[in-house]
Amino acid sequence: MKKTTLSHTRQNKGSSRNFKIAMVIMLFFLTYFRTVMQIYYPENFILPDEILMFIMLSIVAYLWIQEVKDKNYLLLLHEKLKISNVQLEQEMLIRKKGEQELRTAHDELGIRVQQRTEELLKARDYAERIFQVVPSAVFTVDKNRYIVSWNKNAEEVTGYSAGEMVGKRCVEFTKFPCRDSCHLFDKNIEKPVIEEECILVRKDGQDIIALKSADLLKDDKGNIIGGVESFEDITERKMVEEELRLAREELEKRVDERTRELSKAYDALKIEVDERLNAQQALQMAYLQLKAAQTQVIEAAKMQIVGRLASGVAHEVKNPLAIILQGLDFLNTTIQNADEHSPVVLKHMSDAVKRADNIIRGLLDFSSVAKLEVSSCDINTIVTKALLLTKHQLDKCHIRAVQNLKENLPELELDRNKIEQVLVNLILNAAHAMPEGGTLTIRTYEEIVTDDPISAIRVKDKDPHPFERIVVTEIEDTGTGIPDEILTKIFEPFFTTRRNSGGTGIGLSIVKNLIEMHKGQINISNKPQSSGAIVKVIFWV
Amino acid sequence: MEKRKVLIIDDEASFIDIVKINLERTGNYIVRTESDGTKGLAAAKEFQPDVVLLDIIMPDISGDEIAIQLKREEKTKNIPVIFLTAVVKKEEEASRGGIIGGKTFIAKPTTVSELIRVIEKQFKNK
Repeated sequence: MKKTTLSHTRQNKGSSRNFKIAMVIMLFFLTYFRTVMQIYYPENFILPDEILMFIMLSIVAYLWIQEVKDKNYLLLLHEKLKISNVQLEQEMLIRKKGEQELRTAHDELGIRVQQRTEELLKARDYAERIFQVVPSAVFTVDKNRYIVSWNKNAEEVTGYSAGEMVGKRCVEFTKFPCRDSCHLFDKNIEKPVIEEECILVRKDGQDIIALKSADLLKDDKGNIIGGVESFEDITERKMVEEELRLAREELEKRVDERTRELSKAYDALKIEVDERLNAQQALQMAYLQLKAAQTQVIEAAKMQIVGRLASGVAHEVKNPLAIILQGLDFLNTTIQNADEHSPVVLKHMSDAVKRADNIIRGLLDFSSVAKLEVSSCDINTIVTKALLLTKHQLDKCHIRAVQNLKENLPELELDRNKIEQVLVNLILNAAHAMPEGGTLTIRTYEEIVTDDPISAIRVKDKDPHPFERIVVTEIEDTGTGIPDEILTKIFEPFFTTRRNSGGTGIGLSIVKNLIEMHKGQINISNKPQSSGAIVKVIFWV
Repeated sequence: MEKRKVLIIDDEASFIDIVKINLERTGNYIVRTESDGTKGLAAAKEFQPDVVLLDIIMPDISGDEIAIQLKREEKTKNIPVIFLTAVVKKEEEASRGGIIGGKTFIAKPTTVSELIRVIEKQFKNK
């Protein structure tokens, strides 16, 4: 405000002076103009001296008034100027102070700028060091993909020095995929490239496989200013990987081949194992059959020896018996009146001879190895015949015979006469067990039995089969049963409980022998709930 | 009734002695005995028995062989032969009517009465 006033004052003063000068010049010009006009046009010039004088006086008067006014104004101005000066001085003081502060601030700013600059330099140096020593090959490009920086690892990997590469476009040392398309600067993508495989060309012209990662560099406002890319030579790794892949493929191929071979071998082995198992089974069967046959042969041989022995013994014993019997007959007719006891004694002696003869005959029966005359038979027919043959004996002993015969039984391969002999023997045995009379029941029926080792051996000429059909003939009596201690000995030759009533102990052993010749089986047991015994004769169909 | 001539050939000397006594005591038989086959064959030709009782098992010649030779000889071929045996079982003898292979058998030991029955049966057959 003060400055404005001052300037206005100065301006007024200047314009007043200029106006005065203009007035003087104008006065001089008027004077010069009248003189010239009077010289050149003395008759035509009509400007009187009075007018000129008036104009000049007016001008002088005006100049005088102006001068007075200027003097007053100057005084006023002076006063104002004084005030302004004071104000100006004050202002100067303030300004000096401000300048001082400003200078101080400027100095501080300078120090801070210097510090900051140093820090920045350090940071840049630090970044540069990092950039150089980072274990990957790294380079940066500007937004036009011209290389800006190139670190030592990049030099080592590519063979190009920083000096050679800075300022060149990055595509010049890349082959794939960068030459075809840049994944980093593709505006459609604009995202970091992470571990992408690419092919680079070394300075020596050799291609290398690199694994690269790259990202865009942006300024504060997000404008793209360039990019940074790091890459790693993985040629060796790739080669190793390729070798590994090939090795793995080779290995897989071999494993496949080996697996196929093993599979074939396994199949072959399985077949062989199956064959061996079959062979083993066949062998086992053959063994069982052989064993059975061997047993049969041994038994037959034994029986043959026993037969010969029995035959010899029979001959040797029967002759003396014949002599004794003839002698007894003689004595019977000659000395029966010599003593009243003579006939009784002779009778006992005669009976003893007959008993001895019976034993010899039984021995011959037992040792008989006559061959079987086998034909297809209905067991029921044989049972009926045996009952018919023994009917007289059963009637005599008051024994009731009950037949419970299953119809349509399978036919059996049997020697009809031998089995008839067996059944007669068993029926008579049962009758002997019922001296006071009773009931004799004969049953026939068919059964399916599961296979077991015993029956497998017993079924000598048959293939083993899980199920076996058997025909059972049961002879049951209501006698006293058989004491347990006798049950085990009952089939032994010459074992008898009826020695005094003519028993020889041969019958059941012959029966057993005959049944076994038919590959059958005989069991004797006591009835569990009532008195009496059950004989089971089993033939396999 | 004319007595029948019986020749017994058996190596059991005691047996033939007693049989001879028992048969002759009946008054119906003239009995000659021989204890070996060769002598027995000669006796058969000479004695001309009505029946020959022949043991089968003998040390020198078996009963079978003697029977064959008797059949071959004109003089003896019609003489009936009864085999005496200690081996043939009683049941077999019974079941086949005392005939095995067309020949008549008597199983030892045998009673006098049974012996006479068999001998007489031979004559009845004639």
